[in-house]
Amino acid sequence: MNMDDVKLQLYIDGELDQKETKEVEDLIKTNPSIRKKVEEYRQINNLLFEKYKSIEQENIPQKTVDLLMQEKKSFIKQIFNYEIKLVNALAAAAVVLFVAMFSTYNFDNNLNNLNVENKNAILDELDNIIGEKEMSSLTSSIQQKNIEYKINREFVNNSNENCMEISFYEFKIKDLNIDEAIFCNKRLIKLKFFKGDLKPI
Amino acid sequence: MNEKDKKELMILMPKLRRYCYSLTNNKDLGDDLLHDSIVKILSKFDFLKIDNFQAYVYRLISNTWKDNLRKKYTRNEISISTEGIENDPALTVKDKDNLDYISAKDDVFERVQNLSEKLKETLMLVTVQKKSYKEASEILQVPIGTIMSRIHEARRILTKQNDELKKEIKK
Repeated sequence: MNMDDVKLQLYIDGELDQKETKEVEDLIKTNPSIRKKVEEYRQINNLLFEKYKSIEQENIPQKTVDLLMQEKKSFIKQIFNYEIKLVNALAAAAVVLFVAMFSTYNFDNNLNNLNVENKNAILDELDNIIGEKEMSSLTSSIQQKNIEYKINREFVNNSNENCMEISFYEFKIKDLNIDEAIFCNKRLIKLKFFKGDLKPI
Repeated sequence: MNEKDKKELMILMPKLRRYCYSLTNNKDLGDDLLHDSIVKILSKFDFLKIDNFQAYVYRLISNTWKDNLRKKYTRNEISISTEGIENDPALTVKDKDNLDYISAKDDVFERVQNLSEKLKETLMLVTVQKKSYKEASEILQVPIGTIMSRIHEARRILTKQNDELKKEIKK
C-alpha cells in the first residue's frame, strides 16, 4: 500500500480534510490513471450502496418487530437480574462491614494503651478544637491533630423550640467517651462527656 | 431492555437490516440474521454495561453472522471462501457469451460475496453503512490502520478481478 493508494482510499471514503481533499482532486485532474482508479472505486461503492439501500424502504418483518416490542422479562431473567444486583449489594455491604470492624478493632486496641496523662493531653487538645462550630470542621480538626475518633450514632430531633434542628452525636475520642455532641441548626452548642461533665461552648 | 432502548433499537432497525442484507446478500437470510441478532440482544442486554450501543449492535450482528457461517461450515453445508481470487467462479468461466451476459453489476456483487468475511464486513460498514473508519474500528474492535488495510485489500482484490475479467472478455 503506497502513499498515493492510502490517500486515494481516504479520499474515496471522505476521511481527508479540506486541504488534502483539494490536493487529491488536483492530482486526479492531471493524472488519468489515478482518475480511472478513483472512478473504479467509486463505482464499486455506488453499486454496493444502491443495491443494499433498497431494503430500507421495505417493512421490517413483523415477527422481529413483535419480538422487540412485546419482550417481557421471563421470571428466571428477573430472578437472575435481581440476583446480580443482590450479589453487588452484598459485596458492598461486606466491604463496609469489614472496614467498620477493622477500624473498630484498631481503635479499641489503642484505647487499652492510654494512660491518664494522655487523657489530659487530649482534653487540652479538645479545648483548642471545639472553637470550631460545624461538625464537619470539628472532625476534620480532630483528624488534623491525629486524634483517633469514632462517631457511633447520629440522630436528629426537630422538636426543640429554639433550634430548628438538634443533632446528637455520640462518639469516642480515644478513651474519652463523649456521650453527646449537641448541635443546634448544625452548629455545635455543647459536648457532654461520659462522666456527666457538661462543657458549654 | 427499557422502552427508551427499545425505541432506539427500533429506529436503528432499517439500517441494521441493510447491514444484515449486505453481509448475507440474501433478503431472507438477512431477515433471519436480524431476527437472531435481536434475540441475542434481548437475552444479553440487561446484564451488560454498554458504552456504545450502536457499535455493540453492529458487532453483535457481525459475530452472529460469522457464528452462523461457522456452524454451516462444520456441517459441510457451505465452504467459506478465502480472500484470494482462486475461488471466484466468474473467473473460471471461459465462455465469452456467458461472460458478456453477466452484467458488471452482478460481477461486483458476486465477487464481494467471495471476499473473506473480515474484508466483506469492513467494506460493507464503510461503503454501505457509510461508517467512518473510526466508527468501523469501534464496531469491529480493531485499530483504524487495520480498517484502512482491509478496505484497501478488498478494493485491490475487486479491481484486480475486474481487470482479469475484462482481459478474459477481450480474448
